[in-house]
Amino acid sequence: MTAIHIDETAKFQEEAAFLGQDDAQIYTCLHAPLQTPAGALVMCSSAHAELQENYRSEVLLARLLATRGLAALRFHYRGFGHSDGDGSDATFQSMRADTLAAIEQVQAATGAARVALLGVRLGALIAASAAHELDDAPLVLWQPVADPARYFRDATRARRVHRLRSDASGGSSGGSLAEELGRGEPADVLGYPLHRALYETLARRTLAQELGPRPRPILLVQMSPRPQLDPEHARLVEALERSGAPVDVKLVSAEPAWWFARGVTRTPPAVSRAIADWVVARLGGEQP
Amino acid sequence: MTTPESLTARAEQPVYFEAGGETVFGIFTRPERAPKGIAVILLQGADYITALNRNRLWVRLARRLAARGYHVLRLDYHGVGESTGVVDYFELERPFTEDVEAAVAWIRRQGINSFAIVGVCFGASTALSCGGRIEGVRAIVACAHPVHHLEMLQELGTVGYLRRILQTEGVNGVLARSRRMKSYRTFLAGRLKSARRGAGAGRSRRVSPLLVAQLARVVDLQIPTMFVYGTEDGYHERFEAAREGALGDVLDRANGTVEVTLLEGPMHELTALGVQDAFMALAESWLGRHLEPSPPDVATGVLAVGGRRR
Repeated sequence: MTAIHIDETAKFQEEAAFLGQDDAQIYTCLHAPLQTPAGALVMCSSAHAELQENYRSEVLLARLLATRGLAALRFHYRGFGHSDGDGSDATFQSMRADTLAAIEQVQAATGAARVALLGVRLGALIAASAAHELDDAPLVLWQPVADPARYFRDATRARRVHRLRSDASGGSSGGSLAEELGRGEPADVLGYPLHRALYETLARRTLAQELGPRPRPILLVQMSPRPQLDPEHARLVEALERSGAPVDVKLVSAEPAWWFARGVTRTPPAVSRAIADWVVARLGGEQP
Repeated sequence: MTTPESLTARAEQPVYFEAGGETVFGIFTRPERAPKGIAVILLQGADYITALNRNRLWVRLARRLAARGYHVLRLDYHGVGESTGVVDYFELERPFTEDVEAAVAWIRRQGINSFAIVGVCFGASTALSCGGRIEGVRAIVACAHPVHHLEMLQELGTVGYLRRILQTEGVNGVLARSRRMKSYRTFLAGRLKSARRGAGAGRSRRVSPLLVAQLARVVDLQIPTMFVYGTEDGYHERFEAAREGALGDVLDRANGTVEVTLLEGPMHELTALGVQDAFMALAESWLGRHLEPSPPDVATGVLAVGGRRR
C-alpha cells in the first residue's frame, strides 16, 4: 500500500510505499516534481545510529531535489528502518541488492533515463558497488567511510566512551567487536546491534575497491571542523584522480558526532545545496 | 495455524495526515487476525528521533503488538523525519498534543475508537497530556518521564544545553528565548543551592506542575497508567523524591491505577539492547493485562513494581 503527499506550493509529491513481495519488503519514499523529472537520484543511507542521525537531512535533500526538477528515491535496506527482516540477515550483498531494486523502482516509476547515486557514510560503499550497473552514473559520496574497518573501530571506541561517560554496565562489553561477534552474539553499540554477517561481508572491502577503475563523475562531501580533507578522503581523491575520474570536493565546516548525536549535529544547509547543485548540473534538472 | 510473534511490512501502510497546518507521516500496522478494536500509538522522545526510535524499537514493537490483535500507529512528529514543518525546540512542558490528536482523528476514520498510548520521555509527557484530552484512551505507558522539564537539561549538562541552543537556533535564537533562558538561570541557581546543601540534596521534590495536572486528570479518568524507569537514568530517584510532594498526593488517590516499574539499564535513551527487549516484553504484557480479558504471563526482567507512596 502506498501513501501520497502533494505539496502544491513547492510543486512536488512524495509517495511512501513498501516494495517487494511477502515478508521481504523494503520501505521506499519517492520524492518527485509534479512534472516529469529530468533524472533521478537514489540515496543509499548509512546504517545503525547513522541512519537515524542523518534521516532528516536526507529527507530535506530529497525535497530540495524534487523542487529543482529531479526525482529522489530514499529507501531502507532489509533489516533496517521500516523494512522487513532482521539486522542479523543484512549483508553487503543484501544491501547492494536492495539498492539495485530501488534503482529499478525509480526508473519504472519516473521513466528517468539518467540515474545518479548517493551514498552516506557506510552507504557510500553500497552506492559505489551498485553504480557499476549504471555505466557512467554520477556518484555522490557523503562523508564516506573509505575503510569499514575504521567504521567498526569507531563503533568500538564509541561504546567505550559511552561506558566511561555513563558508567553503564548493561550490554556493552569492553572487548573488540571481532571477539564479541566470534561468540555468536551481536555486538551492542549504544543500543544498536552489529551483526556478524554484516561485519564479515564488509570488513575486507574498501571504498576504493568498490569504486573500481572505471571513471565516473564523483562529488565527495566532507563535514569536518578542519579546512582540509581528512587523510583517508585525501588518499581516496588522489587515487580517483589518478584513475581519470573527475572528482569534485565540497568541504563544509561541521562537527558530526555520528554515534553520539542527540539532535545537536544538524547538517548545515550548505551540504544539501552543494549536493543539489552538483546533481542538477549533471542530470539536467531545472527550476520549475 | 499458530499466531506469529510478530507481523511484517505486509501488514503495514504508510499514512499522511494533517496536523496544525503540517503534514505528519506515520506507519499504520493492522492485525491480520482477531483485531481487538484498540489502536496503540507509539511516541518517541525529543531530539529529532524518528518513528523508528533507537534500533527500530517502534517497528519491532508495532509488529509484535499487531500480532496480538492491536492496530498500531508510529509517527514522525511535525518537523521530524518525513513529516513537514520545523521544530523550534522541544520542551517537556509543550507536548505535541496536536500531532497525536490528528493521529487519533485519522485512526477514528478507520473505525477504531479505543486507544493506548506508549511514550518515552518527551513522548511520555505527550502521552499523559493526551490521555486527559482524548476520549477513548484506555491505557498509558510513560517511560523515562522526567518529573521536571529541567531534568532534560540536567542530563545534557550546562555546556551541552548551551551548545544545543547555539547549534540549533544560533545566537539570535538564544536571545529570542528569554523565557527559556530565565528558566535555565533558575535551574542553575537550584543546582548551586543543591551543591551547597551537600550530598542528598539531589532528592529534590521539584515536580512539574504540568505533570501533576496531567496525572491528576488521568487518575480522575481512571486510565491505567504505568511509569517505567531505568536503573541507569536517575529519573526514577527523582520521581520517588517527588512523591513526597504534590505528585504523591495524586498517586495516593490513584487507587492502584498508576504503577511504577523499574527496568535494569538505561531506559531514557535505550542505549542497551537488553533494556529494549525488556521494555518490549513489559509493554506487551502490561497492555495485555489491562486491555485483554485473560493475558498471558510474560517474563519481563522487572526489578520493582509499586503503586503507592512509600
